[in-house]
Amino acid sequence: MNPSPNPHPESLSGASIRGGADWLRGKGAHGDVVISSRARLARNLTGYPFLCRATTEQRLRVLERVRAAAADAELAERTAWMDVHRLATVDRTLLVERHLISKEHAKGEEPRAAIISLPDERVSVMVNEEDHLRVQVLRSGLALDEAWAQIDDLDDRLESRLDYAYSARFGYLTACPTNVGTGLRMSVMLHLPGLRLTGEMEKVKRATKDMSLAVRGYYGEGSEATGDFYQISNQTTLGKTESVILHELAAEILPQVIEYERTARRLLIERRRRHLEDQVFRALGVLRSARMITPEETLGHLSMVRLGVLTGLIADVAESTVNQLVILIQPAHLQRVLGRELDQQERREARADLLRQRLGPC
Amino acid sequence: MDVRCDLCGQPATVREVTIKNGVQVEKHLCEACAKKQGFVVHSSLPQVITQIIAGAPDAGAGPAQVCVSCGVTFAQFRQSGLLGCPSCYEAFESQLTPLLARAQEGGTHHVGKIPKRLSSRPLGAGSPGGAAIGGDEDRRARIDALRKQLSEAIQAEQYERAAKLRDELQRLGERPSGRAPALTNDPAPPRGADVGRRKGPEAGGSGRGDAENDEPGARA
Repeated sequence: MNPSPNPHPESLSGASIRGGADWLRGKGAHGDVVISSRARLARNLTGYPFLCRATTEQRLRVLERVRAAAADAELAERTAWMDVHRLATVDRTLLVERHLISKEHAKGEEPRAAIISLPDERVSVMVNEEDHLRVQVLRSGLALDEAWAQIDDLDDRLESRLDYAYSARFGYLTACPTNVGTGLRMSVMLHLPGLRLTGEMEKVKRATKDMSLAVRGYYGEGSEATGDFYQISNQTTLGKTESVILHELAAEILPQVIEYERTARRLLIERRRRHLEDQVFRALGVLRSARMITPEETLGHLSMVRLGVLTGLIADVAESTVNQLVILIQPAHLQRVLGRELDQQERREARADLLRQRLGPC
Repeated sequence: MDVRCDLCGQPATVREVTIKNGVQVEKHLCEACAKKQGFVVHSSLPQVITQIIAGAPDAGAGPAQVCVSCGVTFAQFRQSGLLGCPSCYEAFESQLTPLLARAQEGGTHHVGKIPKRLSSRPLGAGSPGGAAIGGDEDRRARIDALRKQLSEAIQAEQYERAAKLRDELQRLGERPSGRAPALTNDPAPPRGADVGRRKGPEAGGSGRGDAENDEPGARA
């Protein structure tokens, strides 16, 4: 099916925006620790310079070629094509908050686009970001194998309709040599409050660094961990096969990190229960009582509430509610849900209102 | 500020600071005296950086400093971290190699996925895999890199990983090295081992008729 032309992200609105994205359902495997799994491929077309050297004319031609190929390749049952450079700032931010495009892609007025599978939002393609194509598959919970299988298939479909820049020695050629070779970045978003509370987070960071994996914050490169949400991804893209990259992350490091986090949570319950209860219920108390609140403070408390729900301390809040709130309290989401522009102070008030409404009274 | 060499009075270019028993001692030397004292002296800082980045002392002499295809210079790349076009990889190959090795855990050759339109081309030599896309030399480099990783995996007793590497080698039409007899005789891959295995020509073709038509040579 052809991508619908230029829909406003209104096409993401309604139930989808209010309910959060598919990958935040919290229903995936190991969902207590692993929020989501992601695969990303960087690809470029032959015959065009990379984006940093491309003229507007060349950018437009890349957009057209990708658009035709994507329509023909049927990347999903239903997809939306968005001319990102024509979207209002709040709509671009909405896509960033839903992890469908990067912050960098949201900036700038040069021609750029995003293709998004609807309604699940599992597949997204950024066109004219740092590379001509950045294909992404996002899944709920620990599903790296599935994410890789899906993106490999999407890549085959696109590749039979586009000439990718490729060399026998360097593999898929990318604007930045840190992506060259497979162009593959596999990552997971983890929720690790137990390891922070038991002071073990540094150990995990060291272990992952030894494995040449990168630990990043909620919004990827350059972002700080907020609310104990961390991304772990492969650093190396050259000299390893895709299956080895996948294996190193999925089999050699993740099972250990997941187990460490669960052990930490168990220890907290068994040995420091009162301390944990205090932190968890204080967090819930703030979210249920605040009249204005920043996103950073909210995420910190939501992290503790999520821990409280998962350890059985909090019985009257659903895990899915917490997962959805992580996204809904972001600035663009608040504005879209309320249907009007809000300044910072108004957002803080609206955020507190939403939290009280969703988490119920004390 | 005109600082002079402590030993001969010439303009000083090297400053040595030592802290002994809590006392800081500063020494200023000219290049000649510094060399006599055993310091390794580089003539200028930018040159030192260039040498580190290029990985070879004579980097400025031979390899290309500009990509003729897009006009990006190697200096521009160093500044932005971004190359200008696919041809830059060829133009700056010798400068990029040591950089890549450092950034990519020693990886300098691609061993992953091959575009289907390339891997399904007729191969004069009759062997499946890399020969079609870069000649024997590239195929050998891929195989050597995979073998090295296989050997490391076996030594580290990472058998699941070793099985994946063995699969890759077999896909390239290569018998894995004799160092892994148990693996070469093991027909059952571990759970999930087929994830990412390429559907090469030996797996029954592309399954899509348009793959052949998409070769550059087939275009009008």
